Amino acid sequence: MSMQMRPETMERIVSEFHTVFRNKGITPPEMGPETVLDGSLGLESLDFAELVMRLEQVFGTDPFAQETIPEVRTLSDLCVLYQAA
Amino acid sequence: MPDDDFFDDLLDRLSERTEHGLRTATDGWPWSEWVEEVRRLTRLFAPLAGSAIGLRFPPLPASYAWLAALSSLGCQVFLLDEQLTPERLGELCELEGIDQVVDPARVLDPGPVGGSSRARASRRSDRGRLTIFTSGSTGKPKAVHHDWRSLTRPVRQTDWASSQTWLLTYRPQLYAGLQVFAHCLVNGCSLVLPDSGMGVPELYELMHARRVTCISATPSYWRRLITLRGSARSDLPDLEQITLGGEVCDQPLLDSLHQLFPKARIVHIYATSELGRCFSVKDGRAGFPVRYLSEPTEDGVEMRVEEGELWVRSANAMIGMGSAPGESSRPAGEWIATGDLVERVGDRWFFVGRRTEVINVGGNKVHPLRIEQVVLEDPDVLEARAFARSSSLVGQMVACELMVRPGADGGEVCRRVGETCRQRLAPHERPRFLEVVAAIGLSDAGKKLRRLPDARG
Repeated sequence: MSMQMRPETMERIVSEFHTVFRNKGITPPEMGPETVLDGSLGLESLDFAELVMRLEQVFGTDPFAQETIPEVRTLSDLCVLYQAA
Repeated sequence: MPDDDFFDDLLDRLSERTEHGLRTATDGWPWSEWVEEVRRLTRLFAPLAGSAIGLRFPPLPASYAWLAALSSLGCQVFLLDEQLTPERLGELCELEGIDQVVDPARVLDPGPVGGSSRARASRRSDRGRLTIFTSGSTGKPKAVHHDWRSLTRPVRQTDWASSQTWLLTYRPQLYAGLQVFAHCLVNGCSLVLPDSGMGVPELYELMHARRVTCISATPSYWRRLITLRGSARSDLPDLEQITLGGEVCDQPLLDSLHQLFPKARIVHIYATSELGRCFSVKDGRAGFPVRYLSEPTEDGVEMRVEEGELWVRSANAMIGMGSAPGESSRPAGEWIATGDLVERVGDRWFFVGRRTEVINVGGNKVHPLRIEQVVLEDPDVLEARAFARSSSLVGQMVACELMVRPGADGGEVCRRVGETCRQRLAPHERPRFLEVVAAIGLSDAGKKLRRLPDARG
């Protein structure tokens, strides 16, 4: 059974996304569970790396620091990943 | 022994000097009295002749007298941080074959601490050797050996130096501290010794009380002296000489010092514990002239650049390094890689940082110094430290701590610095984490601490 995304998790993750966008000097776009996390969002790989470091401070864990890097396509996928970690 | 003659001549000269000497906040030893003490201690410590002695080195006139006396007796002297823990002291005694540890601040004639018999055979050839423990790039102290010839060779004896009063800002047992002492010893001028941990306001009081005219310090230490002095210009001592060393000296700092101390001669020196003094720059500009690579420097040092790294062949170099039995002696005329990276711009070479401090962001190399220079351009940033934070995705990312001007809005400063960095730096260079801190940590050598563990350990 797939894990349900919790709204509070998404809220915390979106907040960190907004920080990364502001640090780039970009107005954060609207984001929802189905937002695809690719270049169309305006973020590059280094920005995503920064996000993961920020999320580690929020959630106390880094699911990307494993031997197998998880696949994440949407914001919902990312939220479920941190919920499960 | 050559060093016997060295000290005898020096002591004879200094025994005439009564106006200058070693001074603390509360005490003062004219050189004439210091010489009497050295001679007294030499008689007292005669049974220790030729031994391997660990000398704890608090910043006191007595410490230097003990050092001189023990050296006169042909002891191999290991200079120890006064704050060494008993455990670390025990390790060093065992590793280095130290017979006894003595402490000028405590008992005059302490009993033996112990040591290893392993190193006895090598000690006969180590008479008069001074061993300094540096921090090294890995943070573990390494033993660097000098003698009084290698330590005093860079010192210039001049008439005008004989009336100077220097403030000691370095730890007295480290190479830079010994160089300042050596200068005062050879020239018979004064050295002022602050108490360990003295704050900046107290330092200024001491400078005024002891009429300090010359200060040698790291750029980080200078920034601290400038930023924490208070706003009144009358706080500033009337300096005739400012020396910078131990870290890269940037143009904004040189310009600030020139503005605050318009009468001072400003010199920045490139020296390391291992290589000794390599060159000095007196033209008020950061970096060093390209001609330093095409001819030996005033200090008789040759230099070359290989793959962006500075290599040096120096007559002032240590005589050996390491701890017996893995110890190595210094082959004459050996070229040594400094670990310092340089780049040429026009008629000048500039330091860009240490090879070991390079931050690797997804395969892109970042020099912390470059980041700090950009960040320090903000008028409300007093000091900055750029360093690596571990990243599971790209290896490392750049973080930066800032000290801001009192009263400045830290959040606004960070926002402004972030914008400047976006404009001036490449994405991989941009510090992703900016934090306002109360103070930037300095090492025992007065240098910015860049290699600190991050959250990942």
